[in-house]
Amino acid sequence: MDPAIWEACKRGDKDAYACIYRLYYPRLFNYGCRFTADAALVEDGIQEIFVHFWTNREKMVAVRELKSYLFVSFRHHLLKLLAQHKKLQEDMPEAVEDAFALEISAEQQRVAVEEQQEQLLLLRSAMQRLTPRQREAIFFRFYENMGYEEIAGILDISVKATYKLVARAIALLRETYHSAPLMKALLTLTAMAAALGSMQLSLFICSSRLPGSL
Amino acid sequence: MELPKDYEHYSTDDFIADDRFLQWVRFPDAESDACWRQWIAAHPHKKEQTDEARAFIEGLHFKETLPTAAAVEAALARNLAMIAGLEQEPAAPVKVRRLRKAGRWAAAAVVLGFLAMAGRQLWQQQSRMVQYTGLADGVRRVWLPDSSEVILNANAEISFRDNWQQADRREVWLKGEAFFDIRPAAAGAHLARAFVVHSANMEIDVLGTSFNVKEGQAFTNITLNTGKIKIRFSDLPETPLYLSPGDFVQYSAKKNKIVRKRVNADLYAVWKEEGRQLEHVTLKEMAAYIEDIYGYHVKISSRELAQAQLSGGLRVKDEKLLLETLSFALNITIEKKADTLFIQPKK
Repeated sequence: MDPAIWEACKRGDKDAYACIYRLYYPRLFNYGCRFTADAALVEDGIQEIFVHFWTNREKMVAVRELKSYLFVSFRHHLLKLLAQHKKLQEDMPEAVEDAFALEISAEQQRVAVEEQQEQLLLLRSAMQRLTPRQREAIFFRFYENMGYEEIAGILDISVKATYKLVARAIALLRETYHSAPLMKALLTLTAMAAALGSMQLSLFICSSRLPGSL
Repeated sequence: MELPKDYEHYSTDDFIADDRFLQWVRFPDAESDACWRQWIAAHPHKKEQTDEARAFIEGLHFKETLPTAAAVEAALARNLAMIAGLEQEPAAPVKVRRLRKAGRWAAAAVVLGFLAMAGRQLWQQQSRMVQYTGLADGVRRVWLPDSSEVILNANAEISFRDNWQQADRREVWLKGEAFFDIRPAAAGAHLARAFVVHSANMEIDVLGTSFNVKEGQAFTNITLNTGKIKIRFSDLPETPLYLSPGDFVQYSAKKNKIVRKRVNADLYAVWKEEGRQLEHVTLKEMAAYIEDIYGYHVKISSRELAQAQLSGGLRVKDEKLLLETLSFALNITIEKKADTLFIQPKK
């Protein structure tokens, strides 16, 4: 972003502020939607941190820090809102921090070669096996194209730990490329296990009904 | 630009994780491009790794949830309104002269009362009444000044002041059917906590909640989805009703009759989302819904059939479509005789 816009915003120029808002609102929104499907809540979070940003703009130092600042405060605030929300309606089962969803998109993969489709599916299922934190690191690294120091700042961990986190996630994702046949076998096994599970369930129902029918 | 030598020992994973490599793949410029091409040419045994790394990075496309340009502008407008509200100058302190002891408090009360009135007048001058009308067909989303959401059903109408910063309560006036998702007052924004919906013959007091109001000629239906609300009827001011999630209240002003019961609240708000997925709605719940919304009596031939369940997308735009969907999904016949619907299994 143009440092002049930042300077103007600091001086209280609302047009410059609007520029910054238009630039970051879609990115923060896209990021927030990975924690929850509640778009209204995501918007609330963004609105509040932007208001806070405006009232504290004079204290901010450099434009370089702006992106990190917005992501850090938005992440913090959204997780707080989600925790409150969860308390209000206790029927939300999953923990807030465990919800970061990252999906590989098929739409942009124009080549519909069967082999690549298969690889895409594998990559998708591999993504699901990452921890939410690994997924978040991958998102910042390969979607937001952020450096390790920036990611470390947002996730509130050391730079060294960030390198490890990203490297581990890459290794896990890349394993799918090498172990495709094994993966298939694993998937079949999972399907079989699922089938077995449902059989046990129906058996259980049968036996629990027996005393009643006697 | 010269690349450091240690790339010699990089694996595919290392290249993927490398800052400079990522920059080159994502945002190549003449310099980085020349530099990497030169390096790869000089290290042909590394070509396989760099190719793999590049393919991996280029294959990572993530699903996006980006707002439309119009949504961004709307959000910006709401944000600027929030900031404008915060920046309104606080009222100048008023000096009260020493008065005789007995009259002091009375005078202070008068001054305070006057200030309150003046403040209210000032607010009413600054804010203006706005009105939104629902579309002729389909639903329309409206955002209130506190960023609460209202979904208007076809032809519904809602009015409110465009600035709630100085208001002592958040108020809206409704005609027709709407679904409200009210946000609790945001931290830092000096908003009144009280939220009131006025309709023809009642007022609804709200605290952080979502609910559905269908105001009509014959009767008004209110269904509460989450939170808590209090209904005050204009004709019966001394008997307010408190609703919990899942409660349904139908008020008929003409007959002066109140019906209160438990329902599947999701069903009553289903109109607001096209193709909304419902889980395990029983035919009995559907029958109650049809009775409340379309005014029929519904008779189901057997108790077992009443427990039949329905899951999936449901369109409730009009009666005909709804009944057709039901009869198809549950394999039932629905027969209309006067104002009664008879439901039985298809033979």
